[in-house]
Amino acid sequence: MNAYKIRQLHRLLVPFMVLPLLLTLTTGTAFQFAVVADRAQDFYWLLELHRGKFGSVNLEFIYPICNALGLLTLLITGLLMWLRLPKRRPQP
Amino acid sequence: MLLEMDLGGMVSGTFMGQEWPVGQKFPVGQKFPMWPLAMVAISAMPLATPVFAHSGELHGQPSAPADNGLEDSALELDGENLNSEAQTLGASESVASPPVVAGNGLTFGFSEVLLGLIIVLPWLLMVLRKQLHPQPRP
Repeated sequence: MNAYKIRQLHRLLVPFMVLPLLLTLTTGTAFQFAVVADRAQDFYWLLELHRGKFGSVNLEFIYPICNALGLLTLLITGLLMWLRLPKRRPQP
Repeated sequence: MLLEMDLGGMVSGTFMGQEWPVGQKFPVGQKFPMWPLAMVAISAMPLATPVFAHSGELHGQPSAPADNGLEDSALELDGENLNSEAQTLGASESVASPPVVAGNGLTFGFSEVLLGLIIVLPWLLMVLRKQLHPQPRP
């Protein structure tokens, strides 16, 4: 896979993954705060959003897998792009 | 790309935020990501079979109140030692006293709106990006 395709894949994934990842990390962190504050029972809805249950639409069977695959792809493509960055030469 | 489909033929309406003239031929060979369609299809599956989605539970609420086990321990205390009646009473009071915690469920619709936002936002971001960085025409 050449650098152009890696960059294209990364660019294609970003808009699709930004909100699910943001939602996952905010709900997970907020629920952890609720657990620390001993009020976890009041915030189970955060855990449901975290797992991909959006009210009547239950995506628990596919949402975590999509999230994981998307994040993994972003990580790998991002790392590959970072590794292929040319070194900047100091300008005289 | 792997997850793309080819659209061709007569299509009218809005395309990437721009009005597409009625009757004009859609550019054959134009590639579109298939994910939004897949997401809509996946989202529609639980709606078609509500039992599969809900299992009869209100979302956002725990299915059953958690057992704290105080009642059993109170019975044991009562049977084992009659002298500890005060303790037993205290335990049984503590069982009865905590009010049932009302489920702090989501207001209906918020989650669905959030899911819709997840589906729509990528397109909005792509349109925004195109407007911010317009590609030079050849």
